[in-house]
Amino acid sequence: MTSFLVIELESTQATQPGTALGDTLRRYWVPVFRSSLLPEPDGEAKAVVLLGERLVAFRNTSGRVGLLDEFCPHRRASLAYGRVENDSIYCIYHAWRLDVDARVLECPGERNPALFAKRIKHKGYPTREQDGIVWTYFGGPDSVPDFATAKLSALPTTATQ
Amino acid sequence: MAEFTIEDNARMTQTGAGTPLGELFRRYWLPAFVSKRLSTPGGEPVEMKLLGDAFIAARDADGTVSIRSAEKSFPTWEAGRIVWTYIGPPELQPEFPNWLFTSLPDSHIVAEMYLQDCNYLQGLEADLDFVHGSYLHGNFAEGGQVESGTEALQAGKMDAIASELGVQLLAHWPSPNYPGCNEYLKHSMIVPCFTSSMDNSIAGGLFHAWVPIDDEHHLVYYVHFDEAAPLSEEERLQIARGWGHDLIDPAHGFRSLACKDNKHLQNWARYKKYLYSGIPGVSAQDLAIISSMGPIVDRSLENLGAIDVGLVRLRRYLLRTVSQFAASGKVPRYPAHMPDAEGAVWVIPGDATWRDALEGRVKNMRRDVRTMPLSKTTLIAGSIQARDLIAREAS
Repeated sequence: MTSFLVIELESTQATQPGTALGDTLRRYWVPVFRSSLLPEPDGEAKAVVLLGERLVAFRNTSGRVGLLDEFCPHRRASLAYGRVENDSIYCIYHAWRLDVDARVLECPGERNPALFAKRIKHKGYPTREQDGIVWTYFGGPDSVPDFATAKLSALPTTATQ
Repeated sequence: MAEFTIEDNARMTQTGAGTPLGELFRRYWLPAFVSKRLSTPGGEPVEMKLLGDAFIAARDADGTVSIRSAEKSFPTWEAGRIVWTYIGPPELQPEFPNWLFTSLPDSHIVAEMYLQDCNYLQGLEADLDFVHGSYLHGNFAEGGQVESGTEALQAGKMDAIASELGVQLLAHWPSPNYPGCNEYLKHSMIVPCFTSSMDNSIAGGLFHAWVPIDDEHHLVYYVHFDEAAPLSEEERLQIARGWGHDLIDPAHGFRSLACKDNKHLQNWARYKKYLYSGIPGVSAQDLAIISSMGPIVDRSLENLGAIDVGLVRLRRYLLRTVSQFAASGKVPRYPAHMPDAEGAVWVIPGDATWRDALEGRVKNMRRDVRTMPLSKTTLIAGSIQARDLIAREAS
């Protein structure tokens, strides 16, 4: 399986919000997996578990990495089976379309598809990629630290080797 | 907003002894396994589960099947290449169900089962969902794009009608074959876990049973049948390849070879240009999606829309039927002529509605299996075609 750089724990409870470790990890950009997990644009999406959360990672047509709640907001089918194309990931059950920013773009068959899609919320985390490592910030969209200055102080350098 | 609560979810998914839905299930004849699981008279008994209870089944020297628990034995009935059993209160045992296929000779029938690792309802819901056929089962074998549902399968041209016996999901479109008429496709869900629809690989019927063996596993039965004639070898091959039954592994408890460990044989490098899902085989596509939701999906987290009309009616039907059963002790009873409740394709004069047809007010209504309007989605034909293309490219 994938070797995750942050931490591998027996118990996912240890990194839940409200725990010392969980809260600390949510204050920094953290490295989460190697870029090689997603070798090419529009390739296979992967299920990953980070800080006790089940997520899906994919690399879109433009090369950007998406990191979203693993389960489609429609019926909770796994997006790890998703079809990646058109700068999006499509749930293969009913073709709901999401982008790397966790926006729901299309819900085919609904009477007002654009309006319907807009009101659906899905969880996702921002990503940055540098030197073969994908980083994310788990702390929420209101307080994202600057990636360039913050990341190097986040963890000891041994963590990225 | 989610329409169903965590409590609703428990009532619709729990079938152990003493649960409201579990007691409802125990009032019906249920499939125990396909006949071929126990083929040799006097052979080794096998362990089996049903609704969370454990049983031993054996085919006795005289060919009849016995099913017993540690305490007692239960009635069995073999019909339609399936062994059925009734494990409810003996004094309330109903008549044998009169399904279309249970009176047919074995030569008219293909019956298969899969052991699947999730709650039965995740599978049953897919049968009340026409729209997923356009995507999950969609393919590009004819060089085209996956359509956003054929016109007929758009939400606005679908309806679902609940009755005492279950839910009927309907789609309709103008008939290309009979001017001035509409064609209707009907999928029926029949209490507690059965569906009846059409199989356009053989222009015949398709019966599904989604039978809980416990809350996190079920056996799904695929019964393909032709009322008019025995199935030829070629048709049997079409069924096996189109639906993917050639992946069933009897040596592994009748699980599919497509499983979580191999991501259900999904392979984007090989299949992306042929198959919307990247997964070969209709049954494997369904299994991948329904099991990907986890053992019991939390339905309070969903965002349902117009395309979900069938499964919403299904859930309301189950909740209502369970409540009525808990209050009155009464369960819906099957009619003497079960075929009336089964899935069909009908051609109806354009000035009549489906309700007119259901309620017997249409005179010139014909059941026209062979026109098979759903073949517009090329579901099975396309699946076979895609597998042929893949095989050709691989060789």
